[in-house]
Amino acid sequence: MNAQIVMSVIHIPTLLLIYIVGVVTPYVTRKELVFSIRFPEAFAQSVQIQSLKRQYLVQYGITGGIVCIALVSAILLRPSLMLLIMSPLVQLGIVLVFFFISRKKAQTIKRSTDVTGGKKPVAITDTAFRKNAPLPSWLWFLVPWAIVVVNAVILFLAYDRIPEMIPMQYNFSGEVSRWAEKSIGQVLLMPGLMVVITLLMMAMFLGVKATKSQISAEKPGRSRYQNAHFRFHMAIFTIVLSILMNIIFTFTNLHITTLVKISFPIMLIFLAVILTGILIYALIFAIRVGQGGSRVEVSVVEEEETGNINRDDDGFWKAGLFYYNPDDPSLWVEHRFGFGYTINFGNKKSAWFIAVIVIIILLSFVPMLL
Amino acid sequence: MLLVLDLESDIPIYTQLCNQIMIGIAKGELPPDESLPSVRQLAADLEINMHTVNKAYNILKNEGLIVIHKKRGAIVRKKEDMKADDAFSGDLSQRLEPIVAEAVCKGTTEKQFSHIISTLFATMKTGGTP
Repeated sequence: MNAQIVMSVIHIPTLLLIYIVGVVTPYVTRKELVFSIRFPEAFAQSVQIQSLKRQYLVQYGITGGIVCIALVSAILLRPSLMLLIMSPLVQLGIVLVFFFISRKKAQTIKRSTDVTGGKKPVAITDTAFRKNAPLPSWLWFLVPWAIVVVNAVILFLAYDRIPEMIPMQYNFSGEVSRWAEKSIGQVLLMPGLMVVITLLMMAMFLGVKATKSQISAEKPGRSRYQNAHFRFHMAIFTIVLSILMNIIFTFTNLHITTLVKISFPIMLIFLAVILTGILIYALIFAIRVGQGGSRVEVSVVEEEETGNINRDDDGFWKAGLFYYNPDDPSLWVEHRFGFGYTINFGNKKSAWFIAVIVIIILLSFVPMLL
Repeated sequence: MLLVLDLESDIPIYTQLCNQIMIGIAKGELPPDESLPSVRQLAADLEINMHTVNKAYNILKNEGLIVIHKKRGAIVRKKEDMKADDAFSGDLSQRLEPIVAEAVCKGTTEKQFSHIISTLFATMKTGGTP
């Protein structure tokens, strides 16, 4: 199989996705957070702010688009490992540049205008938020765990049928570049990985459960509903993701152990389909639900504005991207620019989180170097 | 029940928290046996320090309005358990004294004052939609 095709199958959709994410992000984040600067909702809908968003859309849309096309052509014409690693980073860099430019402008608007309009800044929450917003049962995780068990049983029963040499790594042409001798440990590696992934997804599920409710002080009724909706779908996302990941692992197991003959191109297409499916699911989720549920339509009667606004917490967001608030005991918080969650670096537990990420990155690079 | 804290007010945050929970209990928005969020959870939701929430919960506990279970967390007490004793009546009169004094100084009549009190009592009864 042609190396270039294999590489583009996986890589080009990723590059396109990063570009699309960059385009839609200002529109899927909470309406009151404009490039990570907090505005009262009414002001955030003003012409001034809308045109700031449009400026970003045009400037990033064109620059990012040109860079994306350039990177895709480079990959098609002269593929290399360096390009593979660098191209998504270059794209992220461009998103960040335009983010910082727009954030600066938003800051200037906030400083030079009386955006609050005499409204009172408050902290707000609903004591019954969690009771009224139940999440799907964690028992759904029995499904991915069942897949793990089935895999372990299959590998155990079919141990004798597994060939003496197991392919461990493929190069871009689909040839095996590293083999491992068959051993119990080698065969158990895959179910082991599945256990780790499933535990990770369960941790994400619990993380969603633990995240704080973020209710708009201007329209608490609507915001409460939207936030509950968001959490529910986020929890479902972790369950679906754990099932899909385990299905990918099952196919990989069947492939490398040759228990079922699946050719490499078919395997690759299958992987690409599932991974693209996950990405499209995430994108549709982000666009339909929006960060914190901000895009969820609420059909209740239009509620009166309370005359309160959420307090200005811009200072806790370093560079608009990193949350540092030692007073806040929560570890997971909603992203201000983007979809999903980030961590509170002011929480002592965040050190553990960073350590785990570093270990995972190191572990995933070690086999590449070997 | 919605808790709304004015962070620019001179009233300390723990007092605001205490007062609002107390009003919620009186109005029935926080019915008996209703559990309140854990200290950590409430602190996270409001982005305030855990000690502040802890302080408020402890005051409410000492006032006899909530109980703090090791496992179930903070829970609103049953109405009959909240019944006042003689000490409370004495305490109440003492706490009202400066307020009444200020009202007298500023020329509020007893009738006006009583009217305010009865209006407040009425909101506690009618606002009781749990």
